[in-house]
Amino acid sequence: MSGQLPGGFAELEAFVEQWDLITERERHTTRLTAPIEQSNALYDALLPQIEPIAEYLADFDINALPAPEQSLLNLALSFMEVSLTVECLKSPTVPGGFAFERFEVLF
Amino acid sequence: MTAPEDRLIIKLPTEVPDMGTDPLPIEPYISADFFEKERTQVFAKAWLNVGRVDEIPNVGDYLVKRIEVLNATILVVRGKDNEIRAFHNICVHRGMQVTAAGCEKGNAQGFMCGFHAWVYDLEGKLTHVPGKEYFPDTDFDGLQMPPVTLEIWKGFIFINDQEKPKKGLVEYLGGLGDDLRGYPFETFNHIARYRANVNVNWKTFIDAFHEAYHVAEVHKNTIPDGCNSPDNPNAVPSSARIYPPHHAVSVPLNSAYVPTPAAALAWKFGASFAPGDMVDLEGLNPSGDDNWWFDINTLFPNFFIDVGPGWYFTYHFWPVSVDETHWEMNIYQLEAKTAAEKIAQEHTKVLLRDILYEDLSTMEQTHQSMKSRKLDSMIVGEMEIAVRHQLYEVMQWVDGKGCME
Ligand code: FES
Ligand SMILES: [Fe+2]
Repeated sequence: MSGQLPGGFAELEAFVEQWDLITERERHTTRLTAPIEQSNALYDALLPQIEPIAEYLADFDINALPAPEQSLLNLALSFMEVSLTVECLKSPTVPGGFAFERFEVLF
Repeated sequence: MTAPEDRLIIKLPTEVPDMGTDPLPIEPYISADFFEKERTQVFAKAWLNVGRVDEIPNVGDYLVKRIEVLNATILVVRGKDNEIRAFHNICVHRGMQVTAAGCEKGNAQGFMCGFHAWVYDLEGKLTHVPGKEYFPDTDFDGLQMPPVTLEIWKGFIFINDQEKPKKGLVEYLGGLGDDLRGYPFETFNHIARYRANVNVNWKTFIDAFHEAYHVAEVHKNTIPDGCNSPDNPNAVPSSARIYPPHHAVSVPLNSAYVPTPAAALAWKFGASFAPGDMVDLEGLNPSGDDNWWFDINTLFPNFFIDVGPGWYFTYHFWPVSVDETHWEMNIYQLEAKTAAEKIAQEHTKVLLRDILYEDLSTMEQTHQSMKSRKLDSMIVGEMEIAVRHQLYEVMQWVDGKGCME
């Protein structure tokens, strides 16, 4: 799955293997099951890069992204996935929430 | 403590039925006998949403909906003439279903029963019977899967278990349908679907979704200050509209809400569920409230369409038994044309989803407590007007006094 990122975003390469995921379900499962340190690391690295990523991808058709650009977008989506965990929950799962094993994410 | 005369007033622009202020009886939420009455008096008479037209855009596209409370499996099909029809998923030979077990949607030229291979067209008509000559006494003319009454409003597909419902769909939706009519549902994309099976009565489940009183506590880890503000610490709804048997509640916005860095990015790029700049769309905020966040629309008995600026989402609460409910949520957003908008959408999705984990957390404990029968009633306040109205309507319908009699 993991492709190389476009030049200029090479420092995010380390996150590709774990977080370059195309569906919400995969991103969510990864967030739920990864140690929180890994979500924190992704968040810290991506936060200052989200605007440059959006700017860079603005020149592409989002429905036909080349592999490196798609990987970059997937990382940005994974950033949003972990944002709740990092900013609010301080936990991979929702504290006191319904059991995630019983909560089906279909897309 | 705030003096009673200082409390915030919920705008009620519509006529409100005389529902009293007494505690609500718990028996209807736990009684198997009552559930049987709901089955025949409520669900067999109301218009029920089974999906959207966008889910079956092409000729031959179909949906299969299991509706436990009606003991029915419904096939919704787009025919050769582009009309959408519904049938009971029943082969007229010996009753097998004509779609494979577990199939929820697909595309077909017609349907072949997997038992003895009788064939039906997209209009539900029986078109082929292998070994027909061995049924010399059967008149096959006009045989078809049993039709189901269907109507479409704003792209939402509703079915009715009655052959001739007392009211058509538009009349049934009444003032609530009028309020929502201008909302551009057809321009939205379906971006997420979530499901859970929860051991709770369907009404208890629903009641956690049409009041904001719980937000500060239940949502303390996700969005505790979304609607609770210094001048409205209990998130009193700004308005509620009762259009029997339906109702709508407008959720207030905390104008002092400070977005997280991710929420701020989302609002910079597009629209988020988190409070932020309001996009003006027709059909929103019908009472013209200040500090408005979004509208909760409860379409009786079991369907919600919550509309906001740039997103809307639906809930279905399908009763399985008195003690079990199948829940589904679908989220829709305006099409993301850029990567930035796509990233913003992800924030709405993730935030709503994590909020839902919190909402679902209270259900089973509440239901267990109710079943202990140690309380025979529950206390419901002004902010929970929708909770009161929901039970009021269910009781009316069960007593044969609903609007579809
Ligand atoms: S039951 Fe369908 S063909 Fe026999
Ligand atoms: Fe909630």
